[in-house]
Amino acid sequence: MRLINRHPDRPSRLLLVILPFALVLFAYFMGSAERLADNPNDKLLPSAVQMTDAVKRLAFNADSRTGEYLLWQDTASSLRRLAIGLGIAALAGLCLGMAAGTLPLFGAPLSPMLTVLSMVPPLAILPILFIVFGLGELSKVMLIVIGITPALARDLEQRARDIPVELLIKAQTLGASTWTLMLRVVLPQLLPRLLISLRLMLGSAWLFLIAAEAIASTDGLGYRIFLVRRYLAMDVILPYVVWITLLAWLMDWGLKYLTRRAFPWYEGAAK
Amino acid sequence: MSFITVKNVWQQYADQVVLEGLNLNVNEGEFCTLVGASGCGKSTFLRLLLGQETASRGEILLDGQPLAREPDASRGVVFQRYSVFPHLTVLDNVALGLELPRSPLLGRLFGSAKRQAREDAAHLLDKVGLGHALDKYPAQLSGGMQQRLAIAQALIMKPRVLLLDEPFGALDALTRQQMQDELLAIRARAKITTVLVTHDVEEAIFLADRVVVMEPRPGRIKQVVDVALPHPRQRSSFEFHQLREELLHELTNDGHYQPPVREQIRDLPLAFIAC
Repeated sequence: MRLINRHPDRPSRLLLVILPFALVLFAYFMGSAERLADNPNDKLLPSAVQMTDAVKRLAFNADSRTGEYLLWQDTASSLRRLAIGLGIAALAGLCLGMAAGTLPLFGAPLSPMLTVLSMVPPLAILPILFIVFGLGELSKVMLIVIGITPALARDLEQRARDIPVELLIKAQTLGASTWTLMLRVVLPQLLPRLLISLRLMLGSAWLFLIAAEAIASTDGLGYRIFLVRRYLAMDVILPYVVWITLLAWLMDWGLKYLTRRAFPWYEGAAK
Repeated sequence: MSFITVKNVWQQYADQVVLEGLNLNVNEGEFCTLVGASGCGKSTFLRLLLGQETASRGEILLDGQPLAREPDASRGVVFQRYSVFPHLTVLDNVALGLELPRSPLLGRLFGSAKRQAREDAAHLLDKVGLGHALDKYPAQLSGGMQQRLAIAQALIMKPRVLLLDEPFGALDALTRQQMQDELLAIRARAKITTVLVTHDVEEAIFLADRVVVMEPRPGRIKQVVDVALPHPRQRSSFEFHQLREELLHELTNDGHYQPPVREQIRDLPLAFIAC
């Protein structure tokens, strides 16, 4: 049978899903054990025990200097910045995209502007943000907002244009004004798309967050990683990376679940 | 006194003339179908009636008044596709037409007004045979049911004119005939002025009081044929058949297309038939 026609059955599919993860973990712990056998003080590939100890220290013992539980404090700070940044970006992206995609008079000036803005590398203007907004929370949130709003807006503009013109005409024959048409026809059709766009943007949002925290911050997941880098503390860095990945994956899954629950018509219509 | 008056209407895109000197009168309550090959401008003409486009020259009067330059509640429309809102249930799709004009700020009603709107919508949906599917989304409906919903949605506005742009073009033949019967039944209850665009001659004759035959490049009215056959019309009757042949002849006898004669088909090389 040709390879293209062969499909895994249920049990072998599960096995195939687990296999690459298992291989990576196996390779890591083999390497770790080998290096630690050579040199028990090796810091590059810490063992599971060392990493567990580090996590215990950061998550369940209060920091002797501040009295805080560092892992949770870092997580709370990072998630707050991320949530505020994503929230503002979603709102701004939705408004801009909807206006540009639905109203030709707004689209004419907005559309080229958004295209140009989305080409500005956000990290290149990070110094400007620090100068303008200071080193506090605002500059970190602004980096996320500036980083993902243009892309969000452009995506939603395109989605708004994809709404068949027949539907817009139909709404007008049902007595809609421009405002009520946008409110009752365009907006509800863009909301599921907004959630999907946000899912795609999560990676960039985390990137900007970690970058901002690495450069100027006093807490946060990115701050911690770059702080302990000085001591080559891989036993902290690796669990932090895993934790960030898990958080990002959970947010992605949550948005996907929300899309399906809140907009049951969307999947059906996509068929 | 005609209800819709079309006076010497031209439509041009850049150098291309799409409609050339159209003149037409449609009486109140009349069912008028426009039939023609693709490219004859019949859909363009419907867009003009709808207010989606404005004619380059000439004017269209509705009950003596110039037509509004944008779509409004006076003209209901059903397109071949994308006529219903995918994000609303069947009931809300129809109730929307009652909510939008009464709530300029939010576009939705609350409390007893909302209940009343939904009741009225449900009543109408019951009449067009969608009473069992009120909570379904359009994607869960068959093509025929979606078009039935689109018609109900247009009717709830009590428009002065109903415009139908190949409404049954995407349906299978059986469903199409069923929908044609239902459209006539709906019109028997409420004599609403209707303009239907189609490329299906049989559909045009079956439904219309008057058939307008259009020819392409540039779009022109070739002939206007009164259909005097009584309802319900029999597609197999001699008069129906004769009228259909006559209109088909009008449509095809423009030098672009000649219907093949049976003897010629037998003699054609195989390769030609295959393509």
